[in-house]
Amino acid sequence: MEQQLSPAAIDEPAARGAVVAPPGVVARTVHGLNRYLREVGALLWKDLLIELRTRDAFVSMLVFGVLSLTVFNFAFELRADSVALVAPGVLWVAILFAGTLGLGRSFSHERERGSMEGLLLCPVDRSSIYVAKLLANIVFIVAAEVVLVPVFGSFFDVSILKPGIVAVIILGTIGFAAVGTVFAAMAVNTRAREVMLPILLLPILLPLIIASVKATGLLIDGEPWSATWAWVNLLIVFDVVYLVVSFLVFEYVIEDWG
Amino acid sequence: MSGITVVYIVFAIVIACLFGYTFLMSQRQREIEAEMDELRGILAEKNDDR
Amino acid sequence: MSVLGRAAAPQRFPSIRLRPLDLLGLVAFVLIAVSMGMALLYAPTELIQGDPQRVFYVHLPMAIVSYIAFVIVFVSSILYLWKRRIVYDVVARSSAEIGVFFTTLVIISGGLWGQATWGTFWQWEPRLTFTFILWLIYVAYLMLRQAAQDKERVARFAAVLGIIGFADVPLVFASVYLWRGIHPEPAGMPQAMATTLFVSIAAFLALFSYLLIHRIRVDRAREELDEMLATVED
Repeated sequence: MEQQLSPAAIDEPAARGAVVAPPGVVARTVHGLNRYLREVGALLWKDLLIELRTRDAFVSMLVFGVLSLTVFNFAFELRADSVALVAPGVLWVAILFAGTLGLGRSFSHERERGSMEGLLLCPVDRSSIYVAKLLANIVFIVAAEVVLVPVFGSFFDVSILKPGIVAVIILGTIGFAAVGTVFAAMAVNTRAREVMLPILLLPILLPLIIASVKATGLLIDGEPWSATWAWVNLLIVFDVVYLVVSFLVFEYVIEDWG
Repeated sequence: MSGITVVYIVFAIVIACLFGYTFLMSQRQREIEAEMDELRGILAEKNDDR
Repeated sequence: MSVLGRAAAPQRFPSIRLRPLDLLGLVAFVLIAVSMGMALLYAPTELIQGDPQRVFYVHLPMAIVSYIAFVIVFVSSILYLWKRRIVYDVVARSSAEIGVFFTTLVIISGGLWGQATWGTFWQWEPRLTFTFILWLIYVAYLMLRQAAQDKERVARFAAVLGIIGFADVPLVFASVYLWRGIHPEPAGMPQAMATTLFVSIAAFLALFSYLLIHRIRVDRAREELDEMLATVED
């Protein structure tokens, strides 16, 4: 990211803004990072503002998530001896379905209003568009989870609000959003938009789904952290791999928009 | 279904699919070649007209 | 290279008739026949599983070949994004198609073997699950290629998925093995089994190279044709 800011651009007063950067590599790096963070912050604020005004993604995610929980309740109650046995799976499927719905809408403004072209013309680093979108998606999905998870807990009579489970949910959400943001940008530019996103996303997410469901189940059962660690470890590896890979490839997805 | 039968079935399926796929590709190729020849002819004619 | 120039040079035609390639194909098919014959006649009957184990001599080589195919998709996807030459995209899509083709056969042969050994076509056994998830990823890859509109975008998106999908392979592997527990591999096999396996791996590798090269040539011919069509329409 820093290397794309040429030294000449940094020395320009306009690029520097009000900050006077002392000479030297460290200062330049710090300065580049500052600038990068400001770009990300501005883009993130834009997405959050749009969402605050329209509440498009949040409401539909929430309603769909609660609906899935309700459907699962009836789908499993009749046969399973204890609903608690299928509970971790239900929670994650509800999160994934609701989240996929939200991700599918995450580039709809860029698509419908053509605002991506404007963004691409801005003198911002392309990857900052990814970082901002990713953060916005994480915020939206977590916001939906804040409601969905307690609802799930009371519907299925599971004590879910343990620090370990919260950590697993957050780790799972990060990995989910990391891949989902890239695929959402791709799917919105294909013919069968709504269908394409889950078809692309779910197979890639399978390791994350397996790990999250396993870890959540073990923690609900009150297993010690040591038994869960292997799965949490896998989640962390998944998150790191996909944060890095998605960060690197995202600019190829948006280089020609519309 | 047991014993050696399953082996014969699997080998038959594999052979059939391999031949099928190879045949399909050869056919695709022949179509493309034919179309290219046709196009070359049209192009040559066009060129002669000029 | 102008189209008319090519039309005037008839020596370009024989290059599509692919003589050495046909030879490779012939050798590959003969090797396949030999390996199947060895699997049926030469290899000893496995003591525990009995005859159905002979399926293994085509099952394993096809699995190896499909993993190689997906590695090729990954590498050529990176090369495409880097160099932006359509050849790399042609290689990626050809390799993905052949990879899905072989993975399908791996799943079918594995399932039939399971039917004979376990009594069910499908078991959520780690290796089968792993292969099945790979199959899903690359079927999605082929579907994405169908769904995007213009050519350049198809190539770009597919390359991105080729990279993201391949990054998933070790994760899928780790997760399904953690999920079902690690199955110890039976160590050591009789010489005749090893020889048969070796021959069939060689056979499927030869066949894979043949199919891949053939497929790439067909696609490149299609690219040329599209180019010519574009010229004619001008």
